[in-house]
Amino acid sequence: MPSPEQIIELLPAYVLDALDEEEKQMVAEYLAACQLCQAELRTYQATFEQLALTVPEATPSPALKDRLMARIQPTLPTTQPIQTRASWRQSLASFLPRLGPVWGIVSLVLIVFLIVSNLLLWQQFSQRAEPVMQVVNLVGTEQAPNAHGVIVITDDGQRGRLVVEGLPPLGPQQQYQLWLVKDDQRDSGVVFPVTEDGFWSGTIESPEPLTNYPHFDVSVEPEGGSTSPTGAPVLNSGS
Amino acid sequence: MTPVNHSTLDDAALIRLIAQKQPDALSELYDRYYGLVFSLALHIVREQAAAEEITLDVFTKVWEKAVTYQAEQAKVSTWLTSIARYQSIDVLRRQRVRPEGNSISWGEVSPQAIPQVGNPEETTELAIRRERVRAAVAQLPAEQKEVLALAYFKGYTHRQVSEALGQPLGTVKTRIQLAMKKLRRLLTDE
Repeated sequence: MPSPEQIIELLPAYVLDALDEEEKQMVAEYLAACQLCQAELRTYQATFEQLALTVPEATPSPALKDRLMARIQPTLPTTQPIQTRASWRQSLASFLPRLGPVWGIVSLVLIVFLIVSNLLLWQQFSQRAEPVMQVVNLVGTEQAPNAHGVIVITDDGQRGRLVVEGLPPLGPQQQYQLWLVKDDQRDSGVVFPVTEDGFWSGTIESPEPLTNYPHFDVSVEPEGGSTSPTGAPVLNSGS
Repeated sequence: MTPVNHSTLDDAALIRLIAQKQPDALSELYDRYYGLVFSLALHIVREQAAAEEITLDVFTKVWEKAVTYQAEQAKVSTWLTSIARYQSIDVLRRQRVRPEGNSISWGEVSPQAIPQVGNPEETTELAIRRERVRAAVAQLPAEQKEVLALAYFKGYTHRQVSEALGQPLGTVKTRIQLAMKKLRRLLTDE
């Protein structure tokens, strides 16, 4: 079973459709159940979508549009369906008055039936609420304006993953540290390095459910981390 | 009934009208995007007549499939370029001949004549977007640009790129990954 990190590494090639069939199928299956991977996928799709804009502009023959319009001409709708609908309405209009009071009773029963069935459906959907993961966006502060990140928290708040990108490289004696903030309390979530391009992805360790923390930030700390922040935040989740 | 001024409608509204088989809406959508679709097709297949056929096929497909378009999944321009790319790569695959070998490159970064697309604001916005993406691609190392071009414009898999360039599979995978990561960062930051 691959890890989310392994799948995330394959996503650039997945959006380009450059994976072998086996890898493609593995990613597609994993994506269905991995919200973190889906969030990553969307960012690569947004990049992929823009690549078409790189090609040199060229212009087709002016007659091409005429060919297009001629090609669709045979598929244009005729007036026949409208005439059919009018005659159907006329038939119904002439038939309904003949039903008289019976029609009124049937209508009333139908209305009551629809109201009751809608209420039952609404109740069923309310009871069937799907568990939903929580996604927290992290934005770069003045210390790291190009950085951004995301925290994905499971429905029960027990587990979470952090993905960051664009954080500045650190000196050999420094690491980044995620802080879980609640009132005046700051608990360490994870201490992590970043790659040359400022990327890191990994699991958050939390002393209590992550959903208890309304705020998260990341600071630069001495290697191994600190018991409380010593540097200014480089990423935070806003208010 | 007041006639609809299609030029004032956004892309998604045009698609809804196309789904109702309104040819004027297709005509407006064509005017907005024929350049983008044709340019991409021509860059991939390198043949004017084939690129024109692909452009026709793309807009015909939009006419036939507009009812299936889902705005929340992709912008209209993305949908169109996605169809154009796949149709073009499909033409290459059917030809089973790659006359240009592996020589395919990204568009020049230098300013070009900008065809008028829709209203002046849209033309300007498209021109700015083009320059942003081109500038970002220009920042990639040459070896990353090469593998990315083969994957994007020729539809090559990792393995096919590796065979075409005679480079190790792992190297190709890493280069594609680094290229996309860097583009993502450059295009998100701006």
